[in-house]
Amino acid sequence: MIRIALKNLWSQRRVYGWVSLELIILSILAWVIVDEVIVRSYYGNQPIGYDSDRLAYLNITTYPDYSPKYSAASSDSVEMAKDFDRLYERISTWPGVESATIVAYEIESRSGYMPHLVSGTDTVPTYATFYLAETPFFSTYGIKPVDGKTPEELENPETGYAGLIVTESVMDGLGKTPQETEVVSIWGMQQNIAAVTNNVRLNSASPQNTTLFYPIHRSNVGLMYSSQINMDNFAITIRLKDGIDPAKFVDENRNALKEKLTSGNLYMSNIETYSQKSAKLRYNLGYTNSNRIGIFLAIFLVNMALGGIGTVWLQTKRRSGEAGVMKAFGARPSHIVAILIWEGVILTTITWIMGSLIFLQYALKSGLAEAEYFNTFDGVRYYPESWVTDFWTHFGIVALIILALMLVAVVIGIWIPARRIARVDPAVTLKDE
Amino acid sequence: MALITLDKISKLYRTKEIETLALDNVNLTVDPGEFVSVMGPSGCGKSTLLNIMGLLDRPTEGTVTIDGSKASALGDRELARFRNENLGFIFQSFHLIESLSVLDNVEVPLIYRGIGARQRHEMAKEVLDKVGLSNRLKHHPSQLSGGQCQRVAIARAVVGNPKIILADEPTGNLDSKIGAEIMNLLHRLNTDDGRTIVMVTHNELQAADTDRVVRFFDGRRTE
Ligand SMILES: Nc1ncnc2c1ncn2[C@@H]1O[C@H](COP(=O)(O)OP(=O)(O)O)[C@@H](O)[C@H]1O
Ligand SMILES: [Mg+2]
Repeated sequence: MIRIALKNLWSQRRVYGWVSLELIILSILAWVIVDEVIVRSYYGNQPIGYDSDRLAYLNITTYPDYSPKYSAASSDSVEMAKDFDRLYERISTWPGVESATIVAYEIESRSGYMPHLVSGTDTVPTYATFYLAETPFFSTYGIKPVDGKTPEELENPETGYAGLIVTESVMDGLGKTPQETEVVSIWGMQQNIAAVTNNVRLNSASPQNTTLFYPIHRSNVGLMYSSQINMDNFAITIRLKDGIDPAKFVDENRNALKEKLTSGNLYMSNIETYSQKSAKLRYNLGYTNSNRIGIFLAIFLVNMALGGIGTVWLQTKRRSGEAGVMKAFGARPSHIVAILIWEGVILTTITWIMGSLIFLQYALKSGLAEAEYFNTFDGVRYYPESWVTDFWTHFGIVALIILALMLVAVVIGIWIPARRIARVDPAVTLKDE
Repeated sequence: MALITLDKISKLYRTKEIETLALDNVNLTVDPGEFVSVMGPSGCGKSTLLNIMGLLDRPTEGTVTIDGSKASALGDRELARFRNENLGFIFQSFHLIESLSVLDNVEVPLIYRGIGARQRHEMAKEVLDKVGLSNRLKHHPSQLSGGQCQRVAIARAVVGNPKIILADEPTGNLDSKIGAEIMNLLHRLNTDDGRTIVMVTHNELQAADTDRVVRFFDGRRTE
């Protein structure tokens, strides 16, 4: 059966050359799209590292000095800290709000600030998030220490103020386990690492990263300046009570909040939910556009697949005369279907191998093979090891998915007409005129 | 007892525009070892008759009985097997499979009988030798002359050793010299191997050489 299928393919190689070309292009296109979809969903399924469901962000802005509402008396940092306290008080007791924290370089938008931690010969760049130590930062976000303590315990002045708090990946980069103690140098100062938390992602569009959570005590506002963190960078993050829909909360409370949340030169300029903020970030990073291109490509792929189905469909219909001869000499309908399907399977397999090799060449040459999920950076692996992060396993599994997709398309395109021509009485196709 | 019995066979072709009664209440029996010619003007239903006799088509009315089996009682599987074991077809336009070599074409009926590759080659070579084509095994049908193609088709029809050969104008596409060679082959199949042959022809001389001539006009037997 396979031998006959091979002979049929070989003897009709001119016709099947074109079909093959179509299938090779289909397989390459399938590679481009399927691989992208898999990597994206792999990114998307990485744990974000905190509980984003009921988070909302309040932008706190200062009036510029030319504004009529500007007050020179309120412009020094001590006054500003007091104003912040007032805003914080008001939002903490706002109906529906469970907790609130004051943060600079909030997790979803902290890409700019990168202090380095140095220990001996190891240097680990970190993305830093600063928080006001008196506010429940960890419990608001739901970031947990790795030693089994609760987020609240990190915020306890007894433990929480004792030094820096970093994610596991930082310890990894320093070549330490999370349980070891470590003194590091930051901004030229020696500080000890007081606690280690689970990893968090740089933002919802990026992998997990090395993160430093830097507590700032209210009495130590001067440090903000020495570390070049301006009050302007602070915002308030709130967690809503269980059962409250964040989008609805934001819509219903925006105006009242704008009215009530103002003190000195500070006022709340905007409030948005986690998903709104994340969507904006993805848009700014170009993800939204590339999603659109992705949808366009996917439609193109479906179109190509339909074209492929149509081509093999027509090819199969052309074979009715042959099917009649085979039946006249004793072929069962199932024999005819089987031979035609075998031809399709062989053709698909050959074109799949060719398409995959072409894509592999492209992947190796274009730098796709060097993608961040395949690699470690300064000894830190930001993407947990899985089949996606191992180049050859990744290649193999995606290849198999593509083979399966192609086989489905080709087999459908052959099976339906093949069944029809296999059922026809041979006399119908064996006309002598 | 008759090998082939057609009992009150009618065949009605229905297309959107027109209904054609290709066969109208035809009775015919063929005895084992007989060589029967079917004659009649073009369009009188000869091919239809042969197709129904060869179980390539179903009659609208009537029953076909071959070697004691009623055709209408056979399912897909049994029908395939029955054709494979009992019937060999020769067509005016050969109907060889273009993609297969001469040898492969002749092996086709054996494949469906589940015979192994080596034995298939042996059997196919033997019959190709008999029709004088042992030096063309690897050729493809497109590389052969009409007479050679028809000899391949004859080899294919007999390789499975069927009792019955059905030939629809086997010399219709060939010149008279080559046609005579083909007729020779058919006569040898009949006299040497004892195969029953039903052949459609337009050639009175060829028909006169056979055991019996059956004549049709407008879907009815006239003789
Ligand atoms: N598949 C078909 N559909 C409709 N009409 C057909 C079909 N096959 C044959 N016919 C008609 O049936 C009649 C008998 O055809 P056929 O058996 O091929 O005649 P012959 O072989 O004697 O020339 C003709 O009128 C022909 O046009
Ligand atoms: Mg005819």
